[in-house]
Amino acid sequence: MKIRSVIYLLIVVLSVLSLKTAYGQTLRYSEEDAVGVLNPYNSPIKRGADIRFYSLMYENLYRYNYTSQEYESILIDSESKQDDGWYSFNLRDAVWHDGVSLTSEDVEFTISFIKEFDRNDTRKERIINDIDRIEIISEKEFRIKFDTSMTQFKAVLDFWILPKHLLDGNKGDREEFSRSSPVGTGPYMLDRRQRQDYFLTRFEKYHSKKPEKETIVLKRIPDTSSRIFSLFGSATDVMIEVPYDRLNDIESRLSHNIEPYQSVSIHTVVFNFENDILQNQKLRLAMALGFNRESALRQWYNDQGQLIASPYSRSSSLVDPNINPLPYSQEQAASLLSDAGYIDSDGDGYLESPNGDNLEFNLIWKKSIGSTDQPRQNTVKDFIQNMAEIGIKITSNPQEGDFFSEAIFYDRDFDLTLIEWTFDPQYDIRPLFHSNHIRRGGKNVGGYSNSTLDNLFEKLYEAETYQDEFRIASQIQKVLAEDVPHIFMYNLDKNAAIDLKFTNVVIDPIYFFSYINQWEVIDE
Amino acid sequence: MNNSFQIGTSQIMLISRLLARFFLSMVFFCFLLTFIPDISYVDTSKMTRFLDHLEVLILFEFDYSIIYGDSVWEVIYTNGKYTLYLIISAIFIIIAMVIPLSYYSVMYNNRTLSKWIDNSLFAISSIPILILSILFMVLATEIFNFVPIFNQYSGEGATFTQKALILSLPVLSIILGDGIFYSVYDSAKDKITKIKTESWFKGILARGGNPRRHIIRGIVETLIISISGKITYLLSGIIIVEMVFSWQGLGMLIVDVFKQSGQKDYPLLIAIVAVLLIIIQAVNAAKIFILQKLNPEKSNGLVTGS
Repeated sequence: MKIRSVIYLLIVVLSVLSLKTAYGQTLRYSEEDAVGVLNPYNSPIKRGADIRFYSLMYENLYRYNYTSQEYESILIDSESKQDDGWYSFNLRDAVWHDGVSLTSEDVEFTISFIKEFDRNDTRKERIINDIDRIEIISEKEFRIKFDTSMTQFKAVLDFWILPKHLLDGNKGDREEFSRSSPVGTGPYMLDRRQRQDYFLTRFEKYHSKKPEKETIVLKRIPDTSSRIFSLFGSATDVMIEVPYDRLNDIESRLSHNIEPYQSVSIHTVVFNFENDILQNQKLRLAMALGFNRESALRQWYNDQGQLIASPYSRSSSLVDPNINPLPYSQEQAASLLSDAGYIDSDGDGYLESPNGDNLEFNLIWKKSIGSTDQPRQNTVKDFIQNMAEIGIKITSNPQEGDFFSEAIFYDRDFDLTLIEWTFDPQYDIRPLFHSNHIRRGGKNVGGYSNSTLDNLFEKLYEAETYQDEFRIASQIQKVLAEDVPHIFMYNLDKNAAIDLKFTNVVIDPIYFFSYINQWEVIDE
Repeated sequence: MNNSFQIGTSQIMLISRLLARFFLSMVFFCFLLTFIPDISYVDTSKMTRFLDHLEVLILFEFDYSIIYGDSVWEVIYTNGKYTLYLIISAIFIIIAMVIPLSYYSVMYNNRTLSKWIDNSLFAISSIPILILSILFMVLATEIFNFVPIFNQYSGEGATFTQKALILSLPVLSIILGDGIFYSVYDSAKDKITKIKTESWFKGILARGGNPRRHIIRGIVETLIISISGKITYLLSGIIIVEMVFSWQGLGMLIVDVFKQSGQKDYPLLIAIVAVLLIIIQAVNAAKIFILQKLNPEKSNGLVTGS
């Protein structure tokens, strides 16, 4: 009895001692991965944690707004089109975190820095191909000549600007900047780094509306359960991406809002055209019709997303609303297979082709390490079940990380693959379907080739107006809907958990914190 | 004079043997690395890849970490001290707990108490480290309304209790999980039972001497052998614990490197494995030297050269 009393007393005393202290004007968010190099162009690795961190410190000339579906000016005050493909720009009256003014020379320097040092090949290629020349007119004014007829010149200028006065020196200065002394024009500046945690303070000379929170703390918590516990225990205020199977748990505690935000990725099943059997369009269409994608979306992803009819997500500005996602119909699928001559001649429940080839395919999919990928596993099980119901045997082949990438992008060692494609604001779908991208390492992993589609992509690239772009994109979507090189599944929403004290929360699908200055805080 | 010469030679032989083992292990590790799929090496032969990794090791070309941007050794120093804290604390606490528990379990003629201690330790120690650490995390969150992750330790006014929880729970998870503690306790208990039956010990008891001092001296050897044999288990446990409690140590670095798709941070990985191997070899060397000091006649010629 005495021992029990002592234990209870001890618990009470410890609980009182561990009472939470007020954290004041701080926003704390957790990241699974570590933030590495602090110069956005020196990082060879593309990680969400890095990008979100950069968005708090650096700013672009233009940035895509996924709500209005237009590019908005960030560091540009005004722009005008001149003759011969030249555009002139005026910079805002912004200053760097060290107090030096932002000038046209910084823009010119950043472009040459990207051309020389950027370790992101896609961005580097875009800048090299699309920007012909830049000329400085005055401290705040410059003009750029774009290489092609750019309908979206703002998209080309969607990159972070770096300070010339800190990076134009020797290699040592650049390394110091990358490691510990980054300087941007964004709403927050780096205060200190403690192991893999970062402490940012509000930049009081920020040129636009200042955010309410004085400091932001990035806490590196690699384990998913620990990130959720730290949310429950008020150790963090924001969890960037809540696993689908934990949404109800968090919502039921009534301490955090679940804020859905659109992802810029789509899920598809890709057919490998190197397999002769899969070159049959009726078979591919039957498989697409026979897979109940709506059920998978509802059951395993809490209905957090939209079915898609093409590689364009439902919120994309180029999506054709008249092309609807294929319905789920096992009858239609069975009828198509029968028309194509597939029958179950040996009575084993699976169909064979007229040549006697079994309809048996290998499905390779990416298994994640360290995070819950249960919804994907369940979706694969559904797919296998649905295909078995229409007489097609699927063998599941989960692969981890680089094994998956090597099998898909290099060895092409699969019949079908379930894959998630993520796009940047330019939403270029060409690499997935153009025959130029069948090469080793290219994204046309199924080896799909269609000359009509190739021509349409060329026209799309040269389109001068949005109307032209939309018309050509619509034709592309029709071709893809008929040819079914992929089973287009869905575009999933992501969900952030955010403490109830934050209101007016606006989330950018890629950078997350782009609109942090609009977030409001209820007094604690 | 002759004796000190012999000792010097043997020590050199021992160090050479440990160095050779270390080097061979590292070469083997570099070879194994060539089998890790990596799209940046997709068009490179395994031999070229192997030589690349060896070059990093032999020419000491560690340079900067791809993931963190800092110099590889700076990253290892920053993170390594937390791993070292976990290892040293775990070993120290195991010794501090095993000695009294095994002593009282054997020496007190209370079979009920002895069984109770045995069964409780066995039950707790049978829980895998992963589950135990998550359990500790849940308990701390529920009871203290506090998440004992390492990020909470500094700043934001963490209280003394919170800091104590942050420092102790990972260590307790490593000690108790995966049977490490029970295994050391069991060997110590066996040794004490054996000592208890020996005539010299009975003589001490008959003369009314203090048995505790003799028992402790008697089990030191067993403890050293048992704990040094568990050092690799401790290191594996540390990787799990570091992930759960967000301890930014070497274990977490290893996971970071392997999780990274595409170009991996091989220099960092090779350096971490080298550091861990050095720790294992250092513990082995310490074991040999301590055992030699304690029991020179059983030295199998390592130090005396006889």
